[in-house]
Amino acid sequence: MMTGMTIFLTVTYVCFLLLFKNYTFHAILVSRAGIFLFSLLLILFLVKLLQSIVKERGKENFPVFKHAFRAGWLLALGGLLLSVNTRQSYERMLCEGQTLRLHGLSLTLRGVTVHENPGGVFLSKSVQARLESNGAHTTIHLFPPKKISGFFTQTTGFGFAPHVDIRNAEGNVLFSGYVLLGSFSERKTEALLPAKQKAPQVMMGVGYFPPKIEGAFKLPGSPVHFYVKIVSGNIKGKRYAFKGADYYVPLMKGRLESPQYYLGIFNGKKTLYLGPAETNRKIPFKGGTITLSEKLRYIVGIKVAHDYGINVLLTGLFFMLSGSVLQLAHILKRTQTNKAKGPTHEPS
Amino acid sequence: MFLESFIAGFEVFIVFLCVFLSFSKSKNAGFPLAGAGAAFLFSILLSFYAARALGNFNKAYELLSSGVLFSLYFLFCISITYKRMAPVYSRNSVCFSLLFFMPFFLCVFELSAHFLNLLKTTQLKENVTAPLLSVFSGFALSVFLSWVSFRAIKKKDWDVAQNAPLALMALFLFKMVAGGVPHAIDPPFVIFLRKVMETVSHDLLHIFFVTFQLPDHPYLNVRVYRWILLAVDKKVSVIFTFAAFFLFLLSFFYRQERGYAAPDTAGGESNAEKRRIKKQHLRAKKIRGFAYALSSFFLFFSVEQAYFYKENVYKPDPIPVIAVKGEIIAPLSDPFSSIENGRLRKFVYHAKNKRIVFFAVKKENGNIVAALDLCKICEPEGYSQISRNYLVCNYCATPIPVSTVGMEGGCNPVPVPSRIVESQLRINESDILKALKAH
Repeated sequence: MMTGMTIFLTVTYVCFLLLFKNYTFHAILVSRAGIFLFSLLLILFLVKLLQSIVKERGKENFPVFKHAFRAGWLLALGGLLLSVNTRQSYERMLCEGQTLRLHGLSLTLRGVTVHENPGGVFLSKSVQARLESNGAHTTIHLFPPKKISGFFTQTTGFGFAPHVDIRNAEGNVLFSGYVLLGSFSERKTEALLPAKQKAPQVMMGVGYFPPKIEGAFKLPGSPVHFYVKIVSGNIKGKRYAFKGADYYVPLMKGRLESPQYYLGIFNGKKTLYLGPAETNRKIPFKGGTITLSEKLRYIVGIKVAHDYGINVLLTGLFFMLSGSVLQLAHILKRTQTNKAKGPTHEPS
Repeated sequence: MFLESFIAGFEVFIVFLCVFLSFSKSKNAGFPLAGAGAAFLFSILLSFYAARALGNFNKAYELLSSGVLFSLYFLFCISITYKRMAPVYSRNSVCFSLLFFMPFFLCVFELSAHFLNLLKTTQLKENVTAPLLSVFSGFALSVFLSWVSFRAIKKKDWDVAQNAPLALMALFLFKMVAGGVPHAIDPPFVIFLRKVMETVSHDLLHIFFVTFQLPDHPYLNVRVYRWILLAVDKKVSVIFTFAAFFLFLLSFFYRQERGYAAPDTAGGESNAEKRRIKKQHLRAKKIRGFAYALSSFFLFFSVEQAYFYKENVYKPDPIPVIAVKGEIIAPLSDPFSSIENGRLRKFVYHAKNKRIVFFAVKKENGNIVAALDLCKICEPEGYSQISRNYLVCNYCATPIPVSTVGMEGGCNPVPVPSRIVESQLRINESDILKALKAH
């Protein structure tokens, strides 16, 4: 009765929120009432399972596989509930040489390798990031995630960070370092550009796959904003121009070297400079100079996640799968045995 | 209008008759009930022909499909009332029926909305009597139903509560009186359940992707992703919905059948008597099975209807067009439809062994735009329309606002330059071929 009522309440609660409040199922699982109802359901089912095991344990045909399956789905449900409620996940773009420090985890990006695949497609190990964690070296990729110090770690994308040196009219350094391409922090920069980079015509154009080759940035407290785009570069000794929607295809062939840039410098809506920018050459603008060096670093999107429920969930799924397979095998075997025995009733 | 009113009145009479017969204590009430069910089917068919005669084809089709479904269910109710079906006429069938018809209880909430709607109709048609009578009878019926239910609960007279046909028919009548025939034939619970199934399966899949850190976009392998997408396909959610109902029904059937032991013929009956008892037992078993099979059949079509008709997806067939002096001429209206009603108009043009499907649609600002029936991303399966404001990709189910049709890129259909000349859409053959080539 209690189990029935809980099932009814849970189903009603889920349906109500899904249909009339536009909740997602995930949001329901992490809501207080959701946690309470699903946990109660879990406990009630567990009690029922234990009762049934105690009741049937002495029997000759103890349904061990059936109980394994039931225990499996309870573990899976518990694992899922634990996972969605305790999961901690962080995502950051790291430049080569940068370090990510998080809850005792220390990851330094030592390098990025791009592996060419036939047809220019992205595979799970196309982009590999070499990491150093507490003195130990390891390589991560998109899938499967690698466990480092208890965190499941994977790459989520990659891109480029050219070295930029900006000085004022007096020659004092305003900024010298690597800027991450891929974002337009100053929206009006985009509107001032004469032509926009065509987006890749691929369904998978999500996040940093394929990589972005342009970006805009500005210095704090300054009205001047900059636009940088990689227009060409060497990959495995061959020169490529990155044009059109298919610009990303050569970038998947290997590591980019000797890049050439297209630069835009704007002050508010006023264009100060717009044109190609040779590397290692000072480009003057009203108020200072900018130099784009040949130095180019790769950036990689890194996702780290800590999940207490994943092992419980996996164990549950394993029990469910093995329980159902063994139960099926058991039924087939029993049927064959019964057939071999023949009819049990005596002829009249 | 007179014909429609007459048919509606006839339907109400039939349903009243069914309820009256359900109250009857006669064990042979099944035959008159079957007759009443057949008459109901006949009245629905009349409605179909009336709607068709009036030129409302969508309504006619809806009435026909819904009428057949409800008649089937009526027959099911009648069959379980019939004395031979007594074993099926039990708590199980009531549970199933209440589950299926649960949203009918929502009539209480809907009543106010219908009342307002009926008042509006009254003002428009300057006819006060019929709608107010309808509302009054709905109210009276709800009071009566409440009284019966409370009485049954108070006296713990569960037999009354277990009278499935009575409950179903009364609820159906309640629904019909409150909302009219179109609302009575809505299967909202099926739609609700399908939506829940769809959301839960999609979200669960997403949770699994997040938990196992699986890349959730197909840059790994498009084929694999297509298989994964199947899990959140609307058709699959329809199958899940049907399975949910069907398994529920099947489990009851299994439990019930397990409860019926074979008749004990070990006594001193003659062999002929034993054979007769066994035959009777098997016959009752077959009839019970038939009732459940019929119910499953009904369910299947009900779920299917919930998916195909209630989504209101408009998927027109392309009209063949030709080119005159290098210019494709596509009519924007014909005796059956016009672009002015906001609906998508599809055309097909055959050029140099190529079949080019394109469409025209009127935007909110009054502009008529033309585009190829494909986008630059998905498989070329074309677009359908949901309401007047959205197109939906038949391949990936992405909704596209009509206001963005004519713009390039993304999931938008590939635009084609066109002009309007005297209610005709004109497109240069070279332009359409160029757009197709660029794609």
